[in-house]
Amino acid sequence: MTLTAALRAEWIKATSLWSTRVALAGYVLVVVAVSTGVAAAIGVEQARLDGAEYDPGVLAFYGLNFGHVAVIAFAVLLTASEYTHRTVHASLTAVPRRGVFLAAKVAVGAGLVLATAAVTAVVTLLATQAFMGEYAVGLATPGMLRATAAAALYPTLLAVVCMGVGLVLRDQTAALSLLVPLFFLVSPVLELVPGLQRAAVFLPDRAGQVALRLHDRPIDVFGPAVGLVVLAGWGAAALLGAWLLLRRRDA
Amino acid sequence: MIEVRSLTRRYGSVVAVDELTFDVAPGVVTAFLGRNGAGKSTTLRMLLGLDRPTGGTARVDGRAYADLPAPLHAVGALLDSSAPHPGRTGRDHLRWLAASNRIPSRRVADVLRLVDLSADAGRRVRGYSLGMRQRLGIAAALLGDPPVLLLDEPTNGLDPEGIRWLRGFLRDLAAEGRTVVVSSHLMGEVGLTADHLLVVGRGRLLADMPLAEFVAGQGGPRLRVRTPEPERLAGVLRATGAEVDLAGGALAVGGIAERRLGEVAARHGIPLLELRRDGARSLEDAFLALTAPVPTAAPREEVARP
Repeated sequence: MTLTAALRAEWIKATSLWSTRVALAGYVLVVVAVSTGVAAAIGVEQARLDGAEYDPGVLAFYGLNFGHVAVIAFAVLLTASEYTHRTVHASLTAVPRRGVFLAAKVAVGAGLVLATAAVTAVVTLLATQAFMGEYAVGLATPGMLRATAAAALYPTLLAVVCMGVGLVLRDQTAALSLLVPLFFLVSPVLELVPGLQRAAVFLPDRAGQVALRLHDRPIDVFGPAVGLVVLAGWGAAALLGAWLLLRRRDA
Repeated sequence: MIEVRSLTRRYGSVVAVDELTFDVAPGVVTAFLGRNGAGKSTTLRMLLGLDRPTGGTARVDGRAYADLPAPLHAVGALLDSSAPHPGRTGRDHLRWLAASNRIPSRRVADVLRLVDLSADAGRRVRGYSLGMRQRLGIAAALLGDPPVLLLDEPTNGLDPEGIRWLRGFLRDLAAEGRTVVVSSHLMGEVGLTADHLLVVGRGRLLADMPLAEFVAGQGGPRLRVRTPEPERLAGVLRATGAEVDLAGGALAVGGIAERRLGEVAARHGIPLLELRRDGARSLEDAFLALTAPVPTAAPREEVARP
């Protein structure tokens, strides 16, 4: 039983459900629509008001704040839902080595999110900039290529964190009700609390989003590359936890 | 070939599986029997590497399940605790299982035909009846053409026709030389199918013997005796070690042969008006007696063996 066979199995699993396809399609739709809508409605006005402070990365990928709910859902559907629907016993009798199972599942999940998010990032950039008039930027603008790459990598690494958490919690409802409020509400709000700001930027989503910006903010304690590394560290920790528990617990 | 040695599983202070030791031979259908909660499913899950034993080992072909290079080619399992994802089609469920063990995709169509699900393979499992789900599970177990089959309560949800089909099917699989283990909490469901019985109660092995021997051993003949002096006859028979129930004017006697009973009565000068066999107890009765919560038929400390 090899990793490639397990990868093929996970690929069929991930692509043979409506729910997972809807989650990925939802991500594309939400990110492109929200980003473009915001750019079209207030983009130029905002850029003029912000002046030198204007951050084209933040505006171009504004929709990611909503899109990551779809990423969380996708990650949970691949992991905790196997337990909720009791298919995990079949998975682990077919692929009994827990490390191979985990590696195949996370690789397929991350790969699908990366492909989806990369296409979405480019489309979003082009669509939003069409409404930005004199403030329009492109991949050639210094920092914008990196921000666009981050718009693909940030959701991918966030999905890895969520897949790890999904395998630890082993319950669809529990995983969704922890992750969605955490990354949609709690974490962004903590970043606004004066005493907590410098700690809040280390949270997975906040750290990853640092890489979307072209300008540093006063509260930032690290740059874009370190931001993605911090997020990847959360992902590694979540996977390590998942792996240890997969080995130790009854399926 | 399945080898289970001192297999034990505790959940806190509860012992679900208690020092189970048995082998399962190929070529016959082995029924794995016990009441609900007797430890059958836990034992099967430990055999499949899903639950971790507290102690002991469970091996298939001399290896722990997790060490099998392509497990679906070695063991086909239908687990009561497992289910296909409701949002996936039956065919896709089998496709990913096949891919995970490099089973050629034409095998998917073969097993679908075998369980008569070809026409419904494109539908989502959500819309399947209980019996269709069970047949899909059996198809999944057969996917790798495995020499060992472990089926946990396979008759659940099958209609009488389906149960009859399954019985014949399991016999055929065993006749091909496969090791076939079927768990059930109902004696009658497998009584017609099995060649060999493994009976567990409260996690312990109560019996490991051919079906015929189980029937003979547990059900032995009961004698029905009528006499004008029932109390006195009961007393002298009890003194020989026989079990005697006084029912109405007659006696139901076990643990003594007709000839010896007649001799004992004659020695004490007790006339017999009637002496006949009451017929063997049914298999179900024997099973219930053996697995009774407070055991009466068999001492739990001793394992009955052939």
